[in-house]
Amino acid sequence: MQQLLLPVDGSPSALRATKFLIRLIGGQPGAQVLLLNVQPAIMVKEISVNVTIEMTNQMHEQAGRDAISGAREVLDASAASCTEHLLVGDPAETIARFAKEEGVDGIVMGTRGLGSIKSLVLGSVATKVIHLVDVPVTLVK
Amino acid sequence: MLRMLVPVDGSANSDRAVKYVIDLAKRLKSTEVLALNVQPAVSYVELMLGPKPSAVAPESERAGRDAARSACALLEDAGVAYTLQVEQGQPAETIGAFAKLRNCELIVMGTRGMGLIKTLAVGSVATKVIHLVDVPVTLVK
Repeated sequence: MQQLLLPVDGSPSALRATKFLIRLIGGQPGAQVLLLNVQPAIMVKEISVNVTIEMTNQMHEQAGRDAISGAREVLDASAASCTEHLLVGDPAETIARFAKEEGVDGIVMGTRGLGSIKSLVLGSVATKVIHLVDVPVTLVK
Repeated sequence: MLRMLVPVDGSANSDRAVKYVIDLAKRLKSTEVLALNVQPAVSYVELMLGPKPSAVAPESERAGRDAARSACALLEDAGVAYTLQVEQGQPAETIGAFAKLRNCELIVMGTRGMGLIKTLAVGSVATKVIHLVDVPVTLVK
């Protein structure tokens, strides 16, 4: 069974990556998409001393759900079978670690996420992911 | 139908990219594979001053076919139909222009070709190609 990792951040580039991934799967039965969003950890002290762990967990979860919703809709409209994964940490490192843990066959991702400077060809997250993993990485503009 | 371009240069990296293309072609069934070898322009002065030669020099054509031999063998052994083209010029620019001219929808490249610094995560040719084209690029390590 082919497993492809799709890290998304809600950006137009991530949405284009989602659409291209569906083409790459091409309706193969048994292809599995792992839809992933990684939220950078919120530092509690940066916000307020009154913010609890539960509150930051909720913020991470809500931001993660928002980020994957567009890709999820596109995937649901296709025949692709998909699971959702919301993680917190350094985006590139977390994507790479998750890819290794799950033993995915490839990664499909947008080159320019929300957080990176628009004029950069390769977002810093994509650049770092390529560096960290050994599986093929498909970059979508 | 997915039209894929795989630049080949006889390196282990380019062979791995070819294997990825073979795998994708077998899974998707409806694909077209274009293999491209880029030979250096005859001379720098010629490149800068001379009119663009209408045809690839015969010796370059031969060198290109030699460089593509391992890629062609892999594709033929796998029973994947392909066409091989030899072009002359700067590698990344030629790959980018060829991809546009032939309306390729995906470029599959080894990250490190021959003659490039081995420690780089992404070779300079791959980086430049990503910069030049709008279509997705799969990087194979």
